[in-house]
Amino acid sequence: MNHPLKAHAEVASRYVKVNVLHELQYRANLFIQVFQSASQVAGALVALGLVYSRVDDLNGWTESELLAVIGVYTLLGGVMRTFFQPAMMRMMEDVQQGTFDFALTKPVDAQLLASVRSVDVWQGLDIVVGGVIITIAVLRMDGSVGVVDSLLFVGLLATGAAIIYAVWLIIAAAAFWFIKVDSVDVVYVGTFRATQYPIGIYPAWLRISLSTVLPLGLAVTAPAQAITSRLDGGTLGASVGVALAALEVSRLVWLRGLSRYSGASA
Amino acid sequence: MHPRAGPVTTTSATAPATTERRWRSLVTIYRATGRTAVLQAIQYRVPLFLMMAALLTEPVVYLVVWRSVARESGGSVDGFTEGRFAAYYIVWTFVRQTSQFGTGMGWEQLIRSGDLNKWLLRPMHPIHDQLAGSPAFSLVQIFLWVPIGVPLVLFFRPDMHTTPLQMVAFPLTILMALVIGVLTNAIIGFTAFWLTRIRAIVNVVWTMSLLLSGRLVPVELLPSWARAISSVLWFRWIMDFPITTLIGPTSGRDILIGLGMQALWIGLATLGVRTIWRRGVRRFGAVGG
Repeated sequence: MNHPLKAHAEVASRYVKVNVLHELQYRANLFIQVFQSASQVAGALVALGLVYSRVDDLNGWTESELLAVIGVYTLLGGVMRTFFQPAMMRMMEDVQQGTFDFALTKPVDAQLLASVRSVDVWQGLDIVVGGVIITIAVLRMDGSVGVVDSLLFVGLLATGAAIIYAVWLIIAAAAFWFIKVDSVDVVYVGTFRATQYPIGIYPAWLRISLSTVLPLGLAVTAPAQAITSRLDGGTLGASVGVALAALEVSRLVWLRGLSRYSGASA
Repeated sequence: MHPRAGPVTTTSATAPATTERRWRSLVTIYRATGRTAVLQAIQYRVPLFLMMAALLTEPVVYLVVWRSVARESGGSVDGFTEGRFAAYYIVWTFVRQTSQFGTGMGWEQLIRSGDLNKWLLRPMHPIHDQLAGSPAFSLVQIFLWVPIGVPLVLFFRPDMHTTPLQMVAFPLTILMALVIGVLTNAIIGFTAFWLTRIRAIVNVVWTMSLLLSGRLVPVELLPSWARAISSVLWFRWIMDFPITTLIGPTSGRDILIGLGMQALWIGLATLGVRTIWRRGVRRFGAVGG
């Protein structure tokens, strides 16, 4: 018998593969996504250009360093919109309609299934665009990025993705209690927009909120700090700690919520 | 329905009595649609409030960034102090919530799915539903904005130079911006008669609006060439102009010029809606619905 982790990974990869194949039927969506990504990046870059046409640095961040933050924001935003958001939206819809039973009847962990059932492959373009922006930012920065910083960057991207996933799961699990939670995705995505700048530039109330209540700011700023060699031990520890805590809390909330599900209209 | 039917597309009435009756019917329909829009908005006030709160992130980000730029530039950027930036972006939230609805995707959905059929059965142009419903929806949005706007004012301390004339002109600028938005969105949406999917066009227009309307940054801070494009097209007049009308400093002459430009764009957009609708609806396959 397979090791449970290996079995989970196999189930996840099969589901993702089927979803990707399904999405590949609609190739025109790539064209639309190109425009969408270009629009978002254009807006961010013009804002950056306008800001740095007037100042040399913004709260200690140079133009290239802030470009790296935008790159990380775009990349993690791409991960969120490709994997987490479609899956969570489908889960909330299923709970609302009572059709989540179909996921529960499968002999696999329900959280795993709920997290991999939907993939919006074209949003993955933002992952590529984010990677390109980060590369350009690094090339423009004075001095090269060390091996340790690069490794920390990759590791913190993973913790950032974990935080984004866990917070999404907690919010989506609210559907088990409130059934109709239509606007939460708008709230989440709206809050995520604030992470396109380093959280250090925000007033204390917003900075603390983006590090603790909805720790999305930490998810984006920490990897950006690593790639720009600005990372300190406190941020590193906070990122890892928040990611682990968020994953644990999200699992508990998920299990508690699942126990309330009664398949209302199935 | 024949494409020429309805108050917007009908050429002219043959007798004054018919014209009067038509206008009276239109007023009745506008009242009823407006009332329905208010009731619907009130019914979904919690999601609307949450959505409004979420959309706040965007102006707060811009505000925080530009306040930092002003601080690091010695107190102001091209005449914009921290207080003026605060005023700009707080009024931004109000203008955004009360005059900027939709993108044209709603029309695409109606045309692509064939659901436009049921609107064609009605004896009036479907644009009237939006023209009547949007201002009513705006009224509800004003009440929802207050609990969000007040803390922003208290926290960011805006610096405003508002005269009675500006106070009077402001609601008018909002209403006209709203009408321009409804009409231009309809024109963009009607391209779905030919293209079926218009997401790419919507994205291009959205980006232009973001950069040129004063949404991202006050138009005064844009490079001169971008300012010129913004002023010639409708973008400046739907966002930056209503905001600067309220926060000042501005003159009666500037307000008149702005209102004139808004009126001009309402005229041009109405013409565009009529022309494109007439041609587009003939191509409509009316599948589904």
